[in-house]
Amino acid sequence: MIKDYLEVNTKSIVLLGDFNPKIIQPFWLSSKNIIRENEASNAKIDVIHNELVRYQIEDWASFNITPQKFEIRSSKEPYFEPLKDLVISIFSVLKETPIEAVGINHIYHYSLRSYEKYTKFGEKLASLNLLNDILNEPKLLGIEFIEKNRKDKLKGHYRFKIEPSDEIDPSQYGISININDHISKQESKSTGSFEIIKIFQENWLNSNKRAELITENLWKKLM
Amino acid sequence: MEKTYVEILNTTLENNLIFNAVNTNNKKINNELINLINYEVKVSNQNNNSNNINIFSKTNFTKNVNSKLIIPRLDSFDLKNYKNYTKKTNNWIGHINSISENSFTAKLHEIRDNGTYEIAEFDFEEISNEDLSLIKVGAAFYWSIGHNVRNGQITKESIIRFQRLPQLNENEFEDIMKSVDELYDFLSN
Repeated sequence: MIKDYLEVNTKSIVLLGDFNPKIIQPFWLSSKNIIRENEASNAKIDVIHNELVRYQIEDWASFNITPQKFEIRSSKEPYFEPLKDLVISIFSVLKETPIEAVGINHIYHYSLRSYEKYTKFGEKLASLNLLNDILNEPKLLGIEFIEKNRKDKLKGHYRFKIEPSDEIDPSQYGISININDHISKQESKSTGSFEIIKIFQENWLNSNKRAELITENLWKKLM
Repeated sequence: MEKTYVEILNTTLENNLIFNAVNTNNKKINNELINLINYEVKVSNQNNNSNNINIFSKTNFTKNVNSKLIIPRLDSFDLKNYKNYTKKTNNWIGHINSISENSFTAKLHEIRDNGTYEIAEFDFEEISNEDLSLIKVGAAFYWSIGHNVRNGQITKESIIRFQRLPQLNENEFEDIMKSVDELYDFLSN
């Protein structure tokens, strides 16, 4: 199973809309009881400005907020559910914030540990034999797929990208699979954050399960 | 007294932000400098020479209003540089069933599998101080056991964190109850 090779698992939740970055500061989060007070006091602030807010709560949630984009990310599995709760909580409070779309990003870094497995994975993924008479020992550097019409009929798209991992030590032959589950607002007349946050909440579990299923199925087919 | 502040122009590479240096008496904007304290500030003058300056000493660039400042982050939390992640974790969501003097029991479901459940007992000593006030019958919490990797050093970890979702205020509660009544009327007719 591919999960036996999983080294780093990262979730990133991206909202697209019209944000006021400066509001969403650590002490505001703790004042709303969304995070602990000591997490707010110990937050590692990178920058807080009208146009850009960037900080980290302890070592489990990184915020990056601009007027067009809200992003929160973690590489700590125990905090993936709290990460989801953070998004729901913030925009349940800031419910007037217009949000157009949500992206649930599942970023997996696998350590394949052997050159043979690493090259086999690439060779099976793309028909490199086709290039044998054009290139000397062709290798795959990256490949990306998109599902334009989502299986679940929601507006949006589903895409995933496979490439060598930049997180794993090269001696461990790392690959990364980056899955972007993008859902847009379904009702053009709805305002505020309610619709997208509801969609996000309802799809969170399925999005996680689908991402895991895709990576496992891909592994079975290739290896 | 004349003060100096910086105005973000753009972000460049991951670790750099470009600012404009401007003179002003505007106190509000000047306060934003406090959040930039973790940066080493470099100012490039017209001769393209870089000088390290302390952002609060600021005397250097009050004379060069149009200088561009390049501000590299000193303590980046970028994943590429700071390897801190967990792996091989088991994750449960728990709901408190009962509370005794020093512990509580909870029903645990695996997060990705709603099927079977387990009952477990947790001592209050295992709960972070700031989560103690959230212990109530029915309260939800997350429990994970796994390996934490911090710059290559692996440690076993057990993490308990109570769920924090905003409480409804009276008006929101009334709105929901009103829509429930409307739905009930609609379905009854």
